[in-house]
Amino acid sequence: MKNEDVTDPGWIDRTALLRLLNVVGNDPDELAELVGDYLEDAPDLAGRMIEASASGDRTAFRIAAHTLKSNARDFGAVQLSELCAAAETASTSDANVADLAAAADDIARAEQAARKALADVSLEDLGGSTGTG
Amino acid sequence: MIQSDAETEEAAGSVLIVDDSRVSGRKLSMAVRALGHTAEIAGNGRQAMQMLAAKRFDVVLLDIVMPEMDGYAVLVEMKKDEALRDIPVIVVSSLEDEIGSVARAIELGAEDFLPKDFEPTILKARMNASLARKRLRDRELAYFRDMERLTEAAQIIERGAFRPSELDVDRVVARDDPLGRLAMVFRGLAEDIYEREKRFDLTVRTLRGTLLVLAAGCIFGLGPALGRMAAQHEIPALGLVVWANTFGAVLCLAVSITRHGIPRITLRDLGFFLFWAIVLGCLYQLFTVIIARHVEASLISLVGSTRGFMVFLLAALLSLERPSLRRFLGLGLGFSAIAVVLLQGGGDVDAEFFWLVAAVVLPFLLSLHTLIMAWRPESVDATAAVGIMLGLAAVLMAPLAVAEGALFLPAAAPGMREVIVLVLGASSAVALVLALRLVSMAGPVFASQMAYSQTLAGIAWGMLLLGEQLSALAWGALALVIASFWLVEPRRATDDFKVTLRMNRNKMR
Repeated sequence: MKNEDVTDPGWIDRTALLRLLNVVGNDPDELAELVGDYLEDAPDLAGRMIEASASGDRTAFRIAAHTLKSNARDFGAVQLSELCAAAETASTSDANVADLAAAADDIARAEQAARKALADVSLEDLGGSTGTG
Repeated sequence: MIQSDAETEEAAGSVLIVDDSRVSGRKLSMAVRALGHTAEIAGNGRQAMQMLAAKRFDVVLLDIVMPEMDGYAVLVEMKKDEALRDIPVIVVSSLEDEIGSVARAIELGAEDFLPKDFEPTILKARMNASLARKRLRDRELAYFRDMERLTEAAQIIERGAFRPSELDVDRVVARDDPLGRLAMVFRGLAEDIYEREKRFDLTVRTLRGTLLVLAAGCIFGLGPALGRMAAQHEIPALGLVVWANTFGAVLCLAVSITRHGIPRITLRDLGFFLFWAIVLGCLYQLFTVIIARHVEASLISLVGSTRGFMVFLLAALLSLERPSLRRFLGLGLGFSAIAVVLLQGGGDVDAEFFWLVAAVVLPFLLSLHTLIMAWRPESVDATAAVGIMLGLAAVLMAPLAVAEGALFLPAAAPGMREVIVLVLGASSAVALVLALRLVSMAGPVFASQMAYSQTLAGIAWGMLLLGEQLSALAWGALALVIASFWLVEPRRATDDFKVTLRMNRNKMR
């Protein structure tokens, strides 16, 4: 069943994946490999944000948020990318550690949802609709 | 001419991607490789610097936000390093929130920027632009390097002495542009001048060598005639040689000390001088005087010309000089002429065959002397060296002369005995100094031709001083000896030879 709610963290923007496919020279195998790397690294990045917020390390928090933001956008996890962008901005502002910790928790949940949705996308069928869940 | 062309702009480049995110790095790597370039990934700034130091890259794709050493620090380090500062850096950045970062990176020397969510066409355009700039810069640098090389080569020639190999402009000559053609003309002219000067040097060496050969031979050729005259006046051989050597030593050392101060010799040099003194100062001088009592001076001189062939054989055996067929023929011709004289007996007076053959020991000793000159201590000048050698020989033989009762005391009023002593001492000393100069200038084989001039002079002295006469056969042999003279060239200048050009700087400026 397709998820059409673009504000849902589990919604994946297929046009982003199509662009990525184009970037890697339209090679589905390369794209599949890249998706595999993302699925492996994303939970680690979210975990790093939780750890950094707990230890009050704003730099580590910002770097992890920055990386996950770019990666999520590349793979069409729009909601997750936006949450990461907000968290990155918050880390350089006066936001307190509790706010960063809350943001990290939200990002961890969104990352999980996006990861599940991305794992379900059939890379061979890319090109039809613009979103899936 | 430094021009870029479309072909090289499209050529594949090697790209270093610096990104702490494995996914971003691999995405960039796949995109770059899809465009036909090669790509390597550095996971952080430090690793990037190590990879840049180890391998040549054409373009760097650099992420800014990285832990430890970030993109700015990488840029600063690269611009500080002369070898890396010309590698174009494209900063990879999210445009919407890092515009300030991009501006800062460009201020620090980044060439361009690429948004993180780039389109392949944008990546291709930026890569090609950066590669084209890099290649243009590479060509500029190579041009300046080659220009510098050519200028250095010109300076080497201007400074004075040069060898073509020193100019090292082959790389510049290989250029397919006006600079390459200029280098080719420059190198060609330098080589022509070098060859011409080398030939000129050989001619000068030959002329100077020939003069020295004639002069030294003439003087040295006096020996047998003096030995024979000593026999006629019943002067003891040992005593004559001791006094002659003493006089020669005093003469040489006086000249050398006046001109260069007291010579300094080491213990190792002393070994050489002792050996030389035994071979030449003792044995050669003594045998000359003794054999001259039994064989005509002109015949001794004729037999002495075999020395040329002996030196040639010994030098070839010891690899001191390269043998050639021409030189072999030249020396062989001279030797065969002497062999005929030896077998037929060339003089008017029938010499005892034993003493005639014994006379062969004289050229042998002289050959040995010529060859050991290659090991002569360079720090001691020729005159001092001869003085030391003659002095040592006199000291070595003096006790023997005393024991034999042959050491006479020179008379206060000089008679024929004293004149013979002085002439033998002075002629040996002068001839040896000239011979030493000849060996160092023209090599031992050419110097051995002194044997022939010595032969001619010995015959002339014999006829002049002693009224000796040679048979027709001996004269024929002599003609062959002279013919062979022209077949032997002096040792050619080696690769160490340097050409010196004198330039009129005022005219040049």
